[in-house]
Amino acid sequence: MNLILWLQILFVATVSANTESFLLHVPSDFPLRKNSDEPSSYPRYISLHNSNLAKTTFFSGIEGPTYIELKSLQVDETYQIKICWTALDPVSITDIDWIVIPHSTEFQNTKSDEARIFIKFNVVADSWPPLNQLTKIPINVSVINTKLGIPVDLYKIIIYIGLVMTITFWINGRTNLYELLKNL
Amino acid sequence: MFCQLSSTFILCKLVQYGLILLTPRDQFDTSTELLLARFVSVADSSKFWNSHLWNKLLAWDSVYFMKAMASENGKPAFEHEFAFSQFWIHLVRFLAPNHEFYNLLKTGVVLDNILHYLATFILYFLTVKIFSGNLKSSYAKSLAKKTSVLFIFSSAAGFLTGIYSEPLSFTLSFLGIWARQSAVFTTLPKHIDCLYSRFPLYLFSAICFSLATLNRSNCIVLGIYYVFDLWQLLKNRNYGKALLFPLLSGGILFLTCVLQQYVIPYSIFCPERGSWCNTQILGPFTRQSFYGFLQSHYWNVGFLKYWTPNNIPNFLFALPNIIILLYSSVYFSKIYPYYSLRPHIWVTTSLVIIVLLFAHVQIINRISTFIPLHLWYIADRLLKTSNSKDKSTPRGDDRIAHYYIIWLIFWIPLQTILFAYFLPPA
Repeated sequence: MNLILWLQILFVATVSANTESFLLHVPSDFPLRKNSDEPSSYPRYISLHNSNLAKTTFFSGIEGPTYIELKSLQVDETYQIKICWTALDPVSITDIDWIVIPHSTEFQNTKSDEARIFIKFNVVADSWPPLNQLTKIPINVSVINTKLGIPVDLYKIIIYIGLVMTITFWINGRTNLYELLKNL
Repeated sequence: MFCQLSSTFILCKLVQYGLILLTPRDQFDTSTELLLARFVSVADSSKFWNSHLWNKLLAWDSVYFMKAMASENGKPAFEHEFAFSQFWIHLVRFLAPNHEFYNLLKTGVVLDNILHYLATFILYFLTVKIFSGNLKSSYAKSLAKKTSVLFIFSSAAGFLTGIYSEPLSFTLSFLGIWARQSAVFTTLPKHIDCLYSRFPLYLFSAICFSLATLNRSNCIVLGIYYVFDLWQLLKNRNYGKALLFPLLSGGILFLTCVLQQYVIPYSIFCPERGSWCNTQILGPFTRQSFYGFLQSHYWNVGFLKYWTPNNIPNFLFALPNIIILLYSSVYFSKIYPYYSLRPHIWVTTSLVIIVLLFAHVQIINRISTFIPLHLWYIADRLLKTSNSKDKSTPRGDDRIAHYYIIWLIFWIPLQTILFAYFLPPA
């Protein structure tokens, strides 16, 4: 449990560099359709249909904001939205947010008869020589369901770390590595 | 000694690479697949050993190294990429059989391991040289063995399994310290002198320190050895030797820094770049060094800039090394004062202060590897308590060394996994 708390603190507080993430909670009264497997009218979307995690690579420009529709989310669930880009590209991701577009409301020339959830971010270039304005930057966007406050994709690494730490503790208890080093 | 250190080294690395191999493949930061997509085919990156081992070594700064190594001319594409050792990048490119992505990666990893292995033995002989001065040789040898073992189990952990440039710096640093130590001897009561016959060795230390600094800018603190020697020789009115030994060697190191930080960047970027070029004072000299500008502009590094509540976990990651480095300085200056270690104390304290006030503090786990003082402190405490029949929990100051070793026992496997899974701390 301590390890889980530790990891949570770690993610909330220190994850930076080439990954930005935030948690998105879908309220229980959010008007989502039960079966929304239909393809989105918006060209950029991620669907969690029959899955609790999904990842897609989008090519984003550096001139305006990027919007991505999140489909097949479940009400009363929390999702981690993770945005990764490679340090090969001299960019950073700013103004990360999420917006709700009400049903029958036009958004960027698309319309839907159900409420839609979009995430939004800006790709900002900062380099010398300056990056070509027409450059498209590959960005990995992941949507991950969380259980007990932990994104489900992290369960295996938490178990692995827990296992290795237990083995280390056991080995150290059996051999007393400190004494071993002392008497080397 | 050779067999014991070699087998310890091999065992440590086998465990680390074993842990990496077993780490789940889908990393937390998914950008490695974007990096791979730029350089290799999916079929190539999905091969067993690539996906289970090599790809996991491409976390954090490895991206910058690989980008330059795999580029057509080995040169950085953008200004901020100059923050990553050009010396290391070109060395790997020179030694690689060809410039294919995975060949470069494998060459870098093998070279890092060879350098770590070599540095272990250089540190052994350096420790023997320093501590056999006024003590029994068996003590020095035993201390050296413990120091070298502690160096194998470094807090840099996972970073030393990849293609980071630290191994090149610590190898050159230990070699330089050894060369300087071979040319300098302590005269009673508290003076130093240099042997003219050992002048080439002293000059060699300057070459080593200069290359180490070219590779990693934090090695500039090694120049403190020359400041110390200069001060001591001037105090003894030994002006001739002061001029020939520390002033000349320090001058070489200073000139290297001037070339790297001012002259070369200015000739490449100015005046078109504007920004830092506009802060020109005289000729190529600008108010801020090139590296200083890159760090502050692109990584928000600067005086107390890291002292924010969200960085508390990073300070906790760095805490064991901050304590052990500072306490080793106190130990060798107050509790067990040893005159020969005085410049080492200055170097260690300076590094800790710089990192604490200016840098991303958790990097101390990785960049303090070019300093041996804390390893000597732990080794000395281990040795002095090794004959004690009382095996209960260590008392007094020994607890610091004890807890540091316990921390290392858990930190090394943990950080190795975190690195392979592309998780912080960087």
